[in-house]
Amino acid sequence: MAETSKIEILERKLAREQQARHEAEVLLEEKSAALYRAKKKLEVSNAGQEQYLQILADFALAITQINSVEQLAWYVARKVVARLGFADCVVYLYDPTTNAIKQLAAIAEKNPGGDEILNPLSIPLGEGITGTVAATLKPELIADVSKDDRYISDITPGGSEVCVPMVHNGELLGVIDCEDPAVGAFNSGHLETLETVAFYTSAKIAERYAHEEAAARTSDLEAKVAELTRLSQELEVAKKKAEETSALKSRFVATISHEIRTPLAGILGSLDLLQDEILPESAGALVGMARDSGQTLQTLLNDVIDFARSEAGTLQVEPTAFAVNELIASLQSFWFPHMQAKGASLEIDLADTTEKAYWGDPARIRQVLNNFLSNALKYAPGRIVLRIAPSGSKDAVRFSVTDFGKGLSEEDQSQLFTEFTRVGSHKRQIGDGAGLGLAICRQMAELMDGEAGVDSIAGDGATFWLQLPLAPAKVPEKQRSAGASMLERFDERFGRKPRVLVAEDVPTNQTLIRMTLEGFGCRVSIANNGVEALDAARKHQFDIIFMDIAMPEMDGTEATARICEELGEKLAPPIYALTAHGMDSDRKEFEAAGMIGIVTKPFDRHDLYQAIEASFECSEEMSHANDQAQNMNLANDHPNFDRELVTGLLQALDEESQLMLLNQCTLDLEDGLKTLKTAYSAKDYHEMGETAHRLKSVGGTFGLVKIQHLTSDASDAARQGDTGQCEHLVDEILSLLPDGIAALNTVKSEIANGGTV
Amino acid sequence: MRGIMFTEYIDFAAAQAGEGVLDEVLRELEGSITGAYTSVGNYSFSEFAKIHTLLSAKLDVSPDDLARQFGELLLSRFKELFPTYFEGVESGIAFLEKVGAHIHEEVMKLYPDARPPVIYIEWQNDVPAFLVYQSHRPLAAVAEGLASACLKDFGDPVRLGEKFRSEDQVKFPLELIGG
Repeated sequence: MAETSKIEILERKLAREQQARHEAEVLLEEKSAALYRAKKKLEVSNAGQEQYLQILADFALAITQINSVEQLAWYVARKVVARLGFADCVVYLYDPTTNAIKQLAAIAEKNPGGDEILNPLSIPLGEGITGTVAATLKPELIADVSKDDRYISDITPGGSEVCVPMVHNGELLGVIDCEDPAVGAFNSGHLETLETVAFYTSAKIAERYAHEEAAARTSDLEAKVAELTRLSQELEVAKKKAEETSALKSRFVATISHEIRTPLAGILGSLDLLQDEILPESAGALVGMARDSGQTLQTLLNDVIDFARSEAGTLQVEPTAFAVNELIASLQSFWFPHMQAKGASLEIDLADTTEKAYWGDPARIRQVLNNFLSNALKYAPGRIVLRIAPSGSKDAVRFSVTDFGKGLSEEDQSQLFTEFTRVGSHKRQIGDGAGLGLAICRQMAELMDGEAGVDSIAGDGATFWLQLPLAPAKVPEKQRSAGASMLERFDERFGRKPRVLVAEDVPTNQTLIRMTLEGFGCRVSIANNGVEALDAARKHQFDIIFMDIAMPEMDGTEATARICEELGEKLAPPIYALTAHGMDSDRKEFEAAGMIGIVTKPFDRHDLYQAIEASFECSEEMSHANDQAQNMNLANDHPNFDRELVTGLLQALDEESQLMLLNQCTLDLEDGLKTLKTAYSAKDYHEMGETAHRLKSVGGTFGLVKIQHLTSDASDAARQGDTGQCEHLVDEILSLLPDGIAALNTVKSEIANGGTV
Repeated sequence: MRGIMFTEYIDFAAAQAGEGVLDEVLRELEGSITGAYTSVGNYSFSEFAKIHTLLSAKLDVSPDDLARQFGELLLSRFKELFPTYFEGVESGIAFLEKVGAHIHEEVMKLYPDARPPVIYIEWQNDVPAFLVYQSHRPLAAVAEGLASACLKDFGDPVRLGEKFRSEDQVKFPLELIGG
């Protein structure tokens, strides 16, 4: 029994274990199947995830190619939302101007074809489900829209809906809305997916907006730059045109003025000749007035031409080494009679530190200073100071003319140097009425790289100044002291005016030479070129011609040759070359043409004087000899002294000036006598000739007629190498000159003792 | 309840009471229990309870004492079946700290919906104070047997004190031996 029972127990145990095994196998089968299903499910899920990621990856890539928000919206609807398995989708874009979201792209029923939306809605913020999402920026997942009273039925009938906002930096850009006709079609997975899409899309829209804004700004900037460029080009063209017009106008003015000058020269010449005629007194006065007016007009015209040339850029500066003393002397001697006539005085204040000579254009400097002096004399005739001093750096020189008149207001000062400006209607008149004088001064100053201006306090005088960068230079050879600059007027000396023709094309030079020669008591005719000079020489008789070489139409050399040829040696007046070139080769050429001498520019008034003197003496030899005889008869104590000549010379001056002048004269004569004696003993004929030459003009001026002739001849003899004649003449001069000096000393003591000349 | 508990218990029962008594128990319970168990299966706890109660009666041992003995046996079976559980473990407390997690993994592996027991050490001031057993099944005694054998086996200087219930948990104070 026990055996049987044991066997039965074991059999039952075996049965139970077999059953357990079977059960385990079934379980294994079940678990395997479950495992397989789980794996499959996982694979599907992975594939879904993979596809989802692929769609997003495609989207991320496509974003870089998409250029507009609209294109982007369609891409999102078709290539993203649709591919992700949503059956329906509408992409809305927020429009801040209307504060509404507008349907921009869609799939399914809302998209009948192409890039088109059926019944495109614009939904105000806060209205309906999409409007709520747009207003709150919070996504919505609605299982059954029929139970949501916000639901606004569009085309798709009710069902479920998922809607997400597109937001960037907290700003609403739009919404993405998906519906499904089935209730509860969407879960949180769908919502999450759409939110991801919305995030990508928002970033891209924001990027597009920023890009559009930047592009708009760029194009705006580009437009502005283009506009500026265009304006600048227009301005450039206008400026060029204006400059061309201005230059053209200046050339026109210069040309016209030049044309006017020629007939004017004819008128003035004729008036000069008319003055020589015997006329009824009233007619004489009228001719004088006409001549004065004509000359004013000529000065004016010259100003205009200078100004126009300077405007047109054709005004030239001709720098040379010039002596300061020389400049002062020429100004002094020129202005002395004018100052005297108006009861004014000219003081020279030359700073010790001033160099003896500078490199510059003395003619231009003189022109400017003449202008200043003319103004001062016109508006403040009284004490006038001409000051010359180095300024600032060593190489700058400041020339100034100070008057002690009423002065100028600040406003007037600022306007004074502009062209055609005259201050007030009755106050300072600039230049000779053209209102150009000071404008030209400024232009001259600028032309010389300097400045011109005025300092003044109303009621307390004015200082007109010219500041120029001038380099110190070696003193030019022909230098004379200012004291020896008094030259006797020819009309007073010889009783009539020498007739002088000046052929010169530069207005400034014309003015200067005319003023200088008129100062010498000459009657001056101006020819603007060789043709006019020839014409004038044919029609009128001149005592001397100064002929510029470089002239338009016909140059000086040719004009000289033609004059000599046409008039013949006897009738042709002596012709002097007026030139800046003083080279030997030139000299030979000039002589060949028939010129007898050269006056170099910038001209020295003494050279001019001597040239006229020499020429005039030739033509006046006979009458002069008669005068001399008369004078000699009249002379009492000093047979070789023309007392009347000295009287005439000194008449215009005050006592102080008379004494000063005479002192200088006697000093010069004594100095000459001494030098001549030394040279005579040493048989230095060159020195004798030079000294005689110097004594000639002094002697002539101060009535030592005999001495004048003897020195002139001695000078000539020395130059010609006739030593015997020279020695003989000097011997005579040495014996006569002390008496001449004594005669002048007599006059001097008479004046000093209160007598009158 | 995991099938392995049944297969282990059946082996335990055969060893304790002999094949005859086990056969009797299973035959007497035939119809209300499966009777044949596989370690990979999953069975109702009521089957376990029925087999255990009947066996206790047949052996005239209290069910808790028998459960404790089963728990002690489980430790040696664990060593055979899952040697990796013991790798690098140097004390009973350290093992007990992890055993809950091991059981959890074993149970969930095949039956994700299962609710395995929670066993852990509760510490107080860096000292292991209680062994906590938390389960919807009244098998605290199995846990007690397993834990006692474990502490003894590793030679930990503590033993389990008298258990007490605290809400849905059963707690065993960890007492210092000789303390």
